[in-house]
Amino acid sequence: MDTSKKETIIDRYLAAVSERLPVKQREDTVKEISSLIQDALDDRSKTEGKEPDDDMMVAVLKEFGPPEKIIAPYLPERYLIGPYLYPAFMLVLRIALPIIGVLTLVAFWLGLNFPTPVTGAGLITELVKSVGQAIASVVTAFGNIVLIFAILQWTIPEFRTAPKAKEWDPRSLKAISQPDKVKRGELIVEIFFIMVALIVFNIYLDRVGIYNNLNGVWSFTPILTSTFISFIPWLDLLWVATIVLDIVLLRKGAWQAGTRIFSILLNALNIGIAATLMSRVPYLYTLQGAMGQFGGAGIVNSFLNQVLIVIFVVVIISSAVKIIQMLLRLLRTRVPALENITR
Amino acid sequence: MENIQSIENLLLEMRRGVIVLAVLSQCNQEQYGYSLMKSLADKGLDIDQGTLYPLLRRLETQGLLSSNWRLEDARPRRYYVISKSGKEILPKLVSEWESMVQMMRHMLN
Repeated sequence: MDTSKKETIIDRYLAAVSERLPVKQREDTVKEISSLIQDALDDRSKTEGKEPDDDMMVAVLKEFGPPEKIIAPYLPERYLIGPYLYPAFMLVLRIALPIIGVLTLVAFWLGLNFPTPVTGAGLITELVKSVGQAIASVVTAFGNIVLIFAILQWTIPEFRTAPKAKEWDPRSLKAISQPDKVKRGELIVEIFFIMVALIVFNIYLDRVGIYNNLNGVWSFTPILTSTFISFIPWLDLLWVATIVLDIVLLRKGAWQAGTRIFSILLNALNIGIAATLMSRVPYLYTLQGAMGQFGGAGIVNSFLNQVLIVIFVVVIISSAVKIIQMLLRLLRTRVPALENITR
Repeated sequence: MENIQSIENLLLEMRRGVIVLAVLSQCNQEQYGYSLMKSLADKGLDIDQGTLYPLLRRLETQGLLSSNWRLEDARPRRYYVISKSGKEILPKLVSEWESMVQMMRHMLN
């Protein structure tokens, strides 16, 4: 090995270039860049009238730029998921991630051995744990989906080339979304169901229970406890306020700042009621007498408690999401309004 | 300062459009990268190495240039020359360029 030849800064530059290039391209590209640097160096040497030295090499290399810059145009376009697969990738993410998140939450709350009585602190701890677990599942699922699509991208040759342009039809354009416009049908359905709930829980409360037909004889056992009944005024308040909001929305035809703020307050009330009900799940109903010996201590009771807890968690999370959506819409509509004022 | 920068960016963008035509027009005779850069600079078109050399590769991949390695003064050099397909395309590009110049003159006057 010839140790007399001193390693120059150009050698280091070429080594840095080489290690950043794919093996197939390495030899040819490094040879070419080396030749180009030598030409530039010779030219500078002639102009300055002296032999190339370290300072001259540095000046030439500065003109070429860092190794990353000089090799960038030699490399093929780099991406993990290309333009052909990207829309499908986003679609899968949009569908799969929320489902996985919700399923993890449901599985968590169903598998929970909830202590009785349920304390507020215990509830918050479990809520935080469940959200943490849901986030972890979503992140893992995201990683797996990226991996699957990256494998498809780099193993199936068809996905590495751009899709052929199809004939474009202007009629395929999506309608412009109108986030402020209310959906009248949904509001009418909501008002109908709230009216039914108001009638049932205020007029026919004594008829809410389990009906049994034994040997042709009907029997009835009430299941709601006084604890649940004590919540009815709060539920009435929530439902009546929701009907008022729905009627206002039906008349106005669109969301406005006032209705959004009102909706935020109603969702906050909904969260408060759901959280309080959730902390008292075992006391809200009784199966004593309704299911014979299986009553309070039976498997049905424990399963029902878990199901109710899952329902309340879903209600709390969906209300929280609605509050965030409303706040974002409020901010988006407020900012342009402020800009108009300051103009 | 910001204004000067944006003017420079606009000029760079304008020049980028003519580089391919300029390079093809200068490759009727064999040229190696550095000699081509000098030849373009002598005619008033300054292109930095980072733009020119990859462009030569791209034009070769597109079949408009062909290249071969040659040993000269004990140093290997890659020489580029316009290919048959490049020779067919060049007059079309020149004609398009002339009509664009005419159109722009008409538009700006």
